[in-house]
Amino acid sequence: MSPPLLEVDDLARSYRGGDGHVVHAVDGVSFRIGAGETLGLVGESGSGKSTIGRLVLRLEQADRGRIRFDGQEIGALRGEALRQLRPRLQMVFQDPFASLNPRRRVGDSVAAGLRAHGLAPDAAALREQVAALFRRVGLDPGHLDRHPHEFSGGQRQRIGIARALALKPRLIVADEPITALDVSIQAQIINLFLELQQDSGLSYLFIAHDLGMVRHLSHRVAVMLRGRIVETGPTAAVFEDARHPYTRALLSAMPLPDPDLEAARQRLTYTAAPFAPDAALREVTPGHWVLG
Amino acid sequence: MSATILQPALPGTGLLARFLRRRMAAAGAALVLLLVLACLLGPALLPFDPLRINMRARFLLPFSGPHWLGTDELGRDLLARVLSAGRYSLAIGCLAMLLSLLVGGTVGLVAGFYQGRIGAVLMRFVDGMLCFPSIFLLLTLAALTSPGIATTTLIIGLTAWMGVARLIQAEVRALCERDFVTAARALGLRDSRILLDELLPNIAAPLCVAATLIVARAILLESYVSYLGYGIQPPVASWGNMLQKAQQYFVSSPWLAILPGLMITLAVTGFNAIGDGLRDALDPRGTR
Repeated sequence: MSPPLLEVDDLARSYRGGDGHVVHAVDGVSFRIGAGETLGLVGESGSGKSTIGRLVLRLEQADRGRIRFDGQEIGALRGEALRQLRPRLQMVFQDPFASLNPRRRVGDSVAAGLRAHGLAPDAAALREQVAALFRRVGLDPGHLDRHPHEFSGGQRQRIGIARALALKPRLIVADEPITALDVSIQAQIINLFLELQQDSGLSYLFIAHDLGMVRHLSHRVAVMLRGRIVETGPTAAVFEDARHPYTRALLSAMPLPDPDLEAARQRLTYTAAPFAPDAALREVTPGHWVLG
Repeated sequence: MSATILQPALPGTGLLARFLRRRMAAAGAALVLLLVLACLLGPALLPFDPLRINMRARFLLPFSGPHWLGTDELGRDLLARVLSAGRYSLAIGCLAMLLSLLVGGTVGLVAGFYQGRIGAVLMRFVDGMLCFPSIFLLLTLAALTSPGIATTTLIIGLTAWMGVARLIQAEVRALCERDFVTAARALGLRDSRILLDELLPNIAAPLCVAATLIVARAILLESYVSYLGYGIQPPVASWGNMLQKAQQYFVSSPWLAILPGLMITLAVTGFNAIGDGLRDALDPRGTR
């Protein structure tokens, strides 16, 4: 078996609050993502999901831990070496209103990465490449010269995806990319993600709290609670055979499409207890790990 | 260089049209344009030399003879003087504004973007500069240098940039929290590109506001300095030193003070109106 595209070991990052109080946002997290694979990262707000995304992208510096990407240690890269890594690791943001520069024409925003890495020989070629990216994400290339405020939320998210795709990345970290969108648009964007994966073998770290979407999109799932992964495994195993009480509580809160089932089922509550000092992930079935 | 490599720039007429649609802005622009034209062309068109003394025609009343706005204590034509004074006042105001925008904008941009040690050092320096009351700083510097247009501009520019630096630093800090700056970093853009292409266009509006406030303030500061005898030296007129001379005759000949005072007021008001209009017009969402 080929080595995974991304290997993260014992990653940790804490923040110091104003009163000197230390928050362990990410506290010893390890996971793998294979080429062409999607790992769904779920958990409540503040569980450290987004911080993991930022650490993997090297937008923030981890306190400890190893990040190995495409056979290369990237945890300590700096300066030009880090800049050279950027194209292979891209990000799609939650808020399509904040993630585009309001003063730049969207074509310029998408072209910025290509220009920064000298990937277009001249202005005409650059424009053609950007137009092709627009077509690929289902946007009209005639709208290149518009400003972000002229687009809807779903269209802006497509622009954000086009910007991420421009550099032909191997891995895209998608941080709640559909949360801010209308329900009718969410499915379109999810399908776009799936198409892109089929076409170019992209890997995704898909951060979300919508379990239904994660189930639809992910090959494997990791459930986070207070900076730790409490359960991880193949999507089917985690959803059908959840072992950790927190995972079960999350799943019991998932709305069911059938109203009778929805009314009949019982919601579980999970009262957070401190992790046992010796808590570690144990493999319960092949590939399915639970903290205990 | 520019952020707009991709094809046609935003049509200038669009911006101009949006600007002129605002009545105050259009009025301010007209006022400033009128002032500038009058100051540029006026002294050449008038039949009187602003420096020519005529002791037989002192303190002539406005609208009373060949001197439209009367004459001063040495019989010099007041209109010619006030317009040639405007050349210096406006030029110093604008040049000092450019200088402080350049210095303050750069310091603010860099300090806001590099929030670590570089930003802290820069902002402490700004705080240090702000500790000196600017009038005293201005007067001390003016007293130590030889008076003139260049030194007056330099002194005003270098004492007025701290406000801009603070404003821009706060603005840039807030912008750096936004996802599009994170996205730019994730794309691997160089810092210079992020500063110039992503951040600079987003601080255009506060820069414009700052610019107008500074032109207005620089005109006032020039008046202070000249009023106190350090800036533009007589017999060359500036609005400030005209005011100073006029105060001796204020009871008998108030128009000598009212006229330069009115010019200062008009210039300051006009520049402020322009700034407000420009801020609105530059906002791409401002489609009213």
